[in-house]
Amino acid sequence: MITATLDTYLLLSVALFAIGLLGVLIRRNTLIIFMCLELMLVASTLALVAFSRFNGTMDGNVFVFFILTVAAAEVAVGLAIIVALFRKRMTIQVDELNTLKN
Amino acid sequence: MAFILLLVYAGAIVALFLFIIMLLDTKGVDRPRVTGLPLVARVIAVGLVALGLVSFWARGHVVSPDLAGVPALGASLKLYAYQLFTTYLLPVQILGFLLLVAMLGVIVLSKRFEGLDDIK
Repeated sequence: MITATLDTYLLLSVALFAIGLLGVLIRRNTLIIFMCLELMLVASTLALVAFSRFNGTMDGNVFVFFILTVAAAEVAVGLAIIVALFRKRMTIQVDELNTLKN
Repeated sequence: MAFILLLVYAGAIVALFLFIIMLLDTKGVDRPRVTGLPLVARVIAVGLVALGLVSFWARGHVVSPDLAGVPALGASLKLYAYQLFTTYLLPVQILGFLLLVAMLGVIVLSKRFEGLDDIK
């Protein structure tokens, strides 16, 4: 049986979101940035499920289904863009992708 | 619900990530660089984290309802599917269309156009 309180889930969600945000801010590899983006999405999903469970409603779970589907589409398109970028420039480090600068 | 999440995530998204990492053949580990930050940014970051912690310890506790009194609706898959196909029927259809569009986009993005070099 679940014994954790709502606080625990929310703290875990905030921690995951913070880790993802930090990763997006300081990593230099596009793939890892993308993974951290997914981590932030999953953290928000966790908060949604926790609230849904503790309120006894079903809507949060349904929204998680929708978020999951949108995340799948987003991952597919994003990874395709990264692969196209890698083919074009032979690098995915964000430091070297500065064509639009200046 | 957790099982569906696990299935879709481990089966589709993580596998896609692993496949792309294998495909791109990136070399080495890039060390996250926090040394190049300006002093102002560091002060602001430490201040924000401290503020968050202080506000959490001060009054950060959500009133969490007793789980024994809350019905475990998420466990019943029948109700879940019923809601998905009655209340949320239109979003489900739109999501299906979104997946189709995403699939088309990926195909267009990853296809090599032979005679269309001026586009790329």
